[in-house]
This record gives sequence, C-alpha cells and structure tokens, in this order.
Amino acid sequence: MSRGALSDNEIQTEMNKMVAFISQEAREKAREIQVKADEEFAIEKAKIVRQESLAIDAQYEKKRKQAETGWKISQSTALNNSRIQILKARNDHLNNLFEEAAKQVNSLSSGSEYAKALENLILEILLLLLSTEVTLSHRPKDADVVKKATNAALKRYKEMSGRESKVSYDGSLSDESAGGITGSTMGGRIKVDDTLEERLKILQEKMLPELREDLFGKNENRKFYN
Amino acid sequence: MTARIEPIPPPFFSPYLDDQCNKINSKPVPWEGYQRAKLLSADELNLLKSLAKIPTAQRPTVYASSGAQYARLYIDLLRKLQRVDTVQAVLVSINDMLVSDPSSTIPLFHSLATKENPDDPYAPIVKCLAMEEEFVILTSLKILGVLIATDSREFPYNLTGTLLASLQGLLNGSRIPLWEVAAQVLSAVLGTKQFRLAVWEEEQCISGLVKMLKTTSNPQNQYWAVSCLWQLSFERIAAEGMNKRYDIVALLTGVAKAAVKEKVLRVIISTFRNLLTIAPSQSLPSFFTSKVLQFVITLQDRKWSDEDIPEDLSYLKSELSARLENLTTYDELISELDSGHLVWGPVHESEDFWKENAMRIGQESGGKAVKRLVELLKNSREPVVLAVAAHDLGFYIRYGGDKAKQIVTDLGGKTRVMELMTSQDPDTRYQALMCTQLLMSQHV
Repeated sequence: MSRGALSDNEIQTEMNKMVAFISQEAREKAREIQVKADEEFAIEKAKIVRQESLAIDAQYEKKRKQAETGWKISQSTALNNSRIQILKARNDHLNNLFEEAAKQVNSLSSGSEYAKALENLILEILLLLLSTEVTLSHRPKDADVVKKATNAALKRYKEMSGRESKVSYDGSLSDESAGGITGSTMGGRIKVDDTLEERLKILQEKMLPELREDLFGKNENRKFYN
Repeated sequence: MTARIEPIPPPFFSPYLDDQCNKINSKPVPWEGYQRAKLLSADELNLLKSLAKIPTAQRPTVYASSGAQYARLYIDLLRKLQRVDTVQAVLVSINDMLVSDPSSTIPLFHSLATKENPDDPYAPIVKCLAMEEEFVILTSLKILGVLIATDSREFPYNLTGTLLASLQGLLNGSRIPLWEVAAQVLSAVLGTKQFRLAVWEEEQCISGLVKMLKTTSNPQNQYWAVSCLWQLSFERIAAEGMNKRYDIVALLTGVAKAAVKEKVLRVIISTFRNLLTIAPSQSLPSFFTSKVLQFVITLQDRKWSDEDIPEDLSYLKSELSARLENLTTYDELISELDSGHLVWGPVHESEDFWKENAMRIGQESGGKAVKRLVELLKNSREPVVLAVAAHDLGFYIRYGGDKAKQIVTDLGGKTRVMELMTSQDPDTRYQALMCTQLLMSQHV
C-alpha cells in the first residue's frame, strides 16, 4: 500500500461508511425476522381464535342442552302432577259417593222392599249352599221378618231344585248393622255373606267402570270393551 | 393486554435521495410571505422559524415536546400548498423529523386522522404524487413507506391505487436510482395483507421487479426485488399464481446460481420455502424442471454465516425429496413402456400409484401409454413382460374411468388377453385371467 497513510478525516469517513453498511445489513435481516414473526403471529392468532370460538360454541351448546333438558323435566313433572291431581280428585269424589251410599243403605232395612229382598237373599244362599242343613244369621230385630222370608224362600227353593233344607237361626248379626243375612253350613266351614254392607261392596266394585264413564266421560285410552 | 411495541421503521437506503434532501435543506423557505398571504397563522410561522434555528442534532428535544403540533402543521401545509419548492421543503422537514427520532415521531403522524380528514396523514401525501417533480414523488413515497409499514391500522383503500400506480411507474422505468427507491418502498408496504393482495392485483409492480431481476447483476437490487417477491409469497393467492405468471422458480434459480452475496440467496431460499409450503402443487413441477433439489444439495455443502439458511435448505431438501418420489414413479413407468422392458417393481405393484395416475395414463398423449401396453401384450415374447402388461392393464381398467374397458377392447386388448389365458407361463396365465375378469365384470 504505497499511497500513504489516510488522514484522520478520511479514516473517519471510511469508518462511517463501514458502520453504515453493517447497520444497513443488520436492519435488512431484522426486517426479515420481523416479517416472519408477524406471519407466525397471524397464523397462531387465527388458530387460537378458532379454537376458542369452537370452545365457546361447545359451551353454549352444552348450556342450551342443559336448559332444554331442565325445561323438559319440569314440563313432564308438571304434567304428571296435574294428572295425579285429577286422578286423586276423581277418586275422592267416588269415595264421597260411596260413603254417602253407605249412609243411605242403613235406611233400606226400614223400607217396604226389605222383606222381599231378604227372601231373595235367602233363596240365593240356599241355592249357593245346596245343603240340607243351613244356619242363617240375622239381626235380632229382623227375627220375624227373616222367618217369614225363609218360609217363602224354602218353597221357591223346592220348586226350583226339588230339594229341601232344614234351617236353623242365630241372631248373631249386630243390630247396628245395615241388615241382610249370612248363611253357613257344615258347622260354619262354608259361608255366604249376603249382608247389605257386603252387597253394597259388590255393587260398588261391579259398577265402578260404568260409574266412571257416567261421571267423567269415556276413557280415551281404553281399547277393549268386551 | 396488548403490549405497546415501538414501531420499527423499515430500512431505507438511497444516497441519491439523501443528496437531494441536503440540497433542499440548504435553501431557506420564505415562510413570512405565506403568513402574509394568510396561508399560515402567526403561531405556525413561529413553529417553523424556531425549528429552523436549532441544529439538527438537538431537534429531537423539540419533537419530544411539540412533535404533535409539527406533524399537524406539516400535513396541513401539504394539503394547502401548491408550489413545488415549498412542498419540497415541507417533505424534507417531515423526512428529517421521522429519521431523527422514529420511535416517537412516527406515532404522532399516525394519530392525525380527524373526522373532517379521516384519511390523514396519508391523503395529503398521496396528493403530492400527482406533482410531476421527481424529488417530491420520491420523498412522498419514502415517507408513505415508513408510515404505512409501521401503522397497525388499515391504509385508506381509495388511495392504494394512486400509490401503486406511482410505484409501478418507477419500477418499470429506466432510471435505476428511482427504481431503487420504489423497490424499497414496495418492500416496506408489502408487510401487510392489504397491500400483498393489492400488489398482486396490480400486475405491473411485479413485472417491474421481474424485469430488474432478469437484467441486473447488482446484488443490492436483486435483494430488494426478491424481498418483495418473498413477502408476496406469504399470500396464498400470490404464491399459487406467481410461478405460472412469471415463471418465478426458474427465474430465481437462475439468479441464485449466479448470486455473489449471501443475503440474496437467503431471500431466494426463503421464497422457495414459502412456495413449497403454501402452493406445492403449483410449484412442484417447476422445482422439478429447474432441478432445484440438486441445487439445494450443493448449497448445503457451503458454509453459511446466517443460521436460518441451513434450516431452510434442509426443509427444502426433505420436502422436495419426499414429493419428487411420487413424480418420478410416473416417469419411470413411461420410460419402461418406451423401452419395452417391463419388469416387476413398485411402479406396477403399488395400487395407490394406479389409483392416482390411471386417468392420467389413459389420457396423456392421446392414451399413448395404454396403446403401448396393448402393443407389448400383443408382440412381446417374454413371459415377464406379458404378465406385467396384463397386470397393468387390469389396474388401468379398474382405476382408469368408465371408458377404460372400452378402450382396451377397441385396441384388441381383450382378445389378446383372453388368448394369453392359455399361455405356457403360469404367471402370465394368472395375470391374464385376472385381467379378463376385470374386463368382463359389470362392477369393478
């Protein structure tokens, strides 16, 4: 290098140029790094946004399902409750009816039909038992009526079956009861209960379907009528 | 929760422009006259005069305290003024302000938008682009580049056209210093998706870059041009179309092979990486034709001072190798057919290969491959060739589409295959039988 040493100024200028050059190169690389970083950021952000919005959608769907189930449950519960209430009300009504009927049965024994009824009941007992020895239990106050009825019944019994029966009496039914008669044979081992209370019970049971229909209307769910 | 990140201004290097700025700075502007003409208020005049008195090194202090006022003032002046020399002076002042203390002055300009002027600070600067004076245009572009690259908000859409038109004019022009400014500004604005899409639409900008790449050997210009292309390639639609429109892969490979500076290779390799990742099917054929894989392998032997280069190179190598495997199998088949030496191998045995390529085999070059297969079936004496040919035809029929059976029959393949069912060689008989079965059946 035979040009001779550079002056201070020239050195300074040269150094400035080198610094500027290095700085420029560095800034260019820095920009490349920034561009790549921006791109990664955009991709990552989009991914996270998508993930989170899917999560939110799922959460919302879960909540909605829960709310729907809850609503369905309470609807169903309300429906069931109202059904039960209806059934209960109807049942109560029927029970009231029967209680009322039971009260009125008591007055039957003082009615004009009582003697004839007794005769028919006794006849039924005889026909059911078909025994030569029958014991009839009655209310003590019915003793006369029962004896008369028995005689009539025995005659009809003979006409219908050709049989005869020996009847003995015992006043073991309570005077407080509604009336009627029970029959037994074979030392009390076979019994027929024809008390008025028992007859009412049987009636209630047999009439229940018809009663329900008269009171509450036809049952829409019923399929068979035979 | 977002951290405030200081804007990093994009690099800008133009001694040409710097020279001109210095010249203009040495000519003082008669602001008093403007005040008398009522274009300036007394306060504004004071601002200008007081700044002019302070030496450049100490101006940051002024900007720190009253920077916002200066920013507002300069932009308003640009909006109002028409005379070239005053516009030049204002532009230089803005440039000085931005350069002296970028991190604090840039945001001042960003926040100038008001209800009356929602496009501030950009509209008045873009207006200057219409002036037919070189310095005004260049400095406006430079300022726009700096402001846009650091602005997190979107640039006004109605102004993009003007900006890009101005840029493309310089990029396609013949004056290098002007091209250099335009390329750097373009690179600066290509940081945003908005501009990547807009520039892709504005074809002339890109063709200006391509033109330079074809003609220059200046590494710095190469770097600037490829930088722009690289940033464009991040955008899917650009990555997919770039190669088809401009034959980018071939162009860049050429530039890379002759490049002297590492940074040029660096951006080219990064661009390849983007193309391969974002638009593989559009770029792969070109990668193949330009023999990029081989080039990458030779590059891996070199020592690089940048750490990212070897990483990108190894990515390119593994991706290209994996994908090229698929490609070569097809060509293997074609060359086997041409030579007439069919042998058992992965090409014939892989069902996936036929699933993907059967249609292509039947259609390319007017179904030449199929005709050749049938020809070999008819004429060859070697049992292996016959067996392979029959087998291949079977696959073709299965995956080659609805017409495949018909085509084979028309070529006389069906008759021949049936004959071969009685051949001496058991393998041939078997393959012929399978093939006949496929030809006959209604459902494949």
